[in-house]
Amino acid sequence: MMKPQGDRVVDVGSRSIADAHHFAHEAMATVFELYIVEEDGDYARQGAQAAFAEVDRLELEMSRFLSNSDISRLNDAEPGQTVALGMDSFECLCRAKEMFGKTGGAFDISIGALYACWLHEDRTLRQPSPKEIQHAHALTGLNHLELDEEGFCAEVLTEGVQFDLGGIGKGYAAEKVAEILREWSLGQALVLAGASSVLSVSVPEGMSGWPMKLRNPENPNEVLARFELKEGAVSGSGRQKGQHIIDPRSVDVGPVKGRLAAWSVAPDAIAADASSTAFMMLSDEEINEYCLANARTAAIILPHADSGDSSSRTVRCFGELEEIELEA
Amino acid sequence: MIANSALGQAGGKKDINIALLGAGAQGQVLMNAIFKLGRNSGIKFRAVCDIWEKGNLRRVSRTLKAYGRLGHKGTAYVDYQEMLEKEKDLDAVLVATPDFWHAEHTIACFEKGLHVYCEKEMSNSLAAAKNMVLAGRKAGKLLQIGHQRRSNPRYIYCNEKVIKEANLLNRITNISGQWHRSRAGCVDLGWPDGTEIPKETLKKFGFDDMPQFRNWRWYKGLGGGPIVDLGSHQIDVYSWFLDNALPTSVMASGGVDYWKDHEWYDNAIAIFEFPTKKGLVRASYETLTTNSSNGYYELFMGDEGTLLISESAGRGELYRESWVEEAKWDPWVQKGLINLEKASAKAEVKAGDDEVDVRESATPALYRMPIEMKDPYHQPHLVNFVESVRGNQTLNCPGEIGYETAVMVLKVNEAIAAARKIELKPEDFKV
Repeated sequence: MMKPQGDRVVDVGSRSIADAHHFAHEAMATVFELYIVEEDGDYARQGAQAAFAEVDRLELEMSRFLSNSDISRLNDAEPGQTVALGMDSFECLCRAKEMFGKTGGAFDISIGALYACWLHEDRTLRQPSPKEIQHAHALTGLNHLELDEEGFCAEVLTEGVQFDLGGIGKGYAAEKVAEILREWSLGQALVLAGASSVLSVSVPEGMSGWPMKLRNPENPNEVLARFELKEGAVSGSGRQKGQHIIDPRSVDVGPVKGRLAAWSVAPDAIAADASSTAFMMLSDEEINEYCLANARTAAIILPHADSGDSSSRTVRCFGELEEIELEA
Repeated sequence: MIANSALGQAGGKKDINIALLGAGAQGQVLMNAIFKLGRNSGIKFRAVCDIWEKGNLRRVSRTLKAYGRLGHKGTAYVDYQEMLEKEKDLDAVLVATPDFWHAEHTIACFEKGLHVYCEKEMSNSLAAAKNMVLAGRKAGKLLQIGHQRRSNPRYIYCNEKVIKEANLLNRITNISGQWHRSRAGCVDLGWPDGTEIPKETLKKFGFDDMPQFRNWRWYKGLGGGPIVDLGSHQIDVYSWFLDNALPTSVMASGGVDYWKDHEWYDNAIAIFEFPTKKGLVRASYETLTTNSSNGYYELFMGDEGTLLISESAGRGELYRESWVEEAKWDPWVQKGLINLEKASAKAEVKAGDDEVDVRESATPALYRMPIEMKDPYHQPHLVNFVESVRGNQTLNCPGEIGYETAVMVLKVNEAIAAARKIELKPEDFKV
């Protein structure tokens, strides 16, 4: 949900990655980048062009800012009205619902009403009345969304619930980009969906992995961890100064201090994208449970200085993280 | 013009079986727009045809297979004649092949007694485009040309309400429009290794090689370049909003100035003269393939107001000329036909003041149209086609209208080549 642009999770300074062709394309309110190892540069460029065209197509399907996208049509639908969706929006909504379940509701694409309730338009905190909070909660949660796999369609069960794929759409797009690159036999590639989500399509020959560097968003000179991404994805969520996080899980919770930053390593970019958002507010125990329950999954957490959940600013890791090297 | 409803079938939600002929990017957009009508649309895909077996054809037949649960079927064909021979229960075909195939494909469908939705440009040859209309008349079948803005509710609203009913622009004197695309958006398309079309197939279907197949729009004899690919949609709107007025002349400049190995002009600037009942309208149009500044839109300028409209979602503005009293437009705001977004900021002398209140530059009053495009692109135009086949509507862009637009845009290329103004007569637009 909150993925600051400057919060890059990948460092591409090493010599080996410098050998890859680099391509960039603006879409989904961010920049998609590709690193492709391939002898024929023209061929790599054409493959990148096909991949970026796919991202543009997905944006038209999934952006809530376009009045005729699938998501806008869903947001405009009356309760009980069936909305026929494109395959991609449908699949993305299914994954969003799955991640909602897996994170106990912490990752929620219907959180808009709660944010509107707790924040002013300038994103500063406001104090809503208990009635307002109750109302916003009544419009939050994916139990309000019915997905029909037989018909690629969706139904909003409650009037006023609004969906936003912003926290998962880029991860979904990264997976689709990877599919296209594989079709083009350009699998030795790294996909960056706005620098906050990174997907390894595969590790190029002669490299042991894609070098990753995780930095402290408050102090970019401070490197928190280094590791090599071999397969799957890593995604980062961060909180910039003044930003607030609303925990949708309970009426009582409201804005949480949460974490300064959270990174998630997952088998695919969709799970990484969604879980890094959830890790901003899940407790240590919940993150640990999540990592144990999901294969090839790990979390790296940077607590907030005054969050009260840690007296020190120690980075904490969960899950399978053998390759991750924490900086002293 | 033919009364289309007379050709339509009996009313009601008759199931319409269709095939997709040409499964590239545009064909896929049309297919997805139909999927998004849901399971009760009564429109069923039966087959798909594309000569790129390991590319478009594989992708689309895979998608149609996934949609099998909604009653679609995607029997795959490389040869359209085989498809038309074997698929016995078709009602209509969506033709989204390269321009130089449109006429042959459309006429073959008519000969099988099928209705046709054909993408624009209806043909790269005016003679062939004329034959398409004649063949449709002979078969008694419908031909809708894919100028989808003609079914877009925002465009219909601007034409019927803003321009016609409220006459807010008053006398339209000028139109300008553009479609600018960035260099990155115009790089030649490639193909994944191992998916090449066999040489003999390419040859059979009129292509020299894979690069030409993938980038046919740039080649003479195959496509028409950006003025046809992009400009056609917008120049069609020029005429439509002027009550389907036809130009009496076109002059143009353009060239292959930037891209290598392209045959068609990579930039073109055209000027048309449209005589209308209210007077002459001079209309310019520009398309670029090196710079995306300001994207794409059409701008209608009258002596009392300006309308900017674009298919790009949400882009639509209406300005009142500052000399026109606000009171003249107010009734239309009261009626809800337009919304006042920002009142004019003028330097003004109030009663009793003897000094002018100097503030920021005067800005014209901004209004917006209270209508959004909420359907997937192309869907309303496809629905108009299918409902016309069912006998419930008439076509918004029948072949005769598509032909008029084809004349306007193909004459731009002719004017560039001739380096002179080309005069157009009413009979040039008649089939």
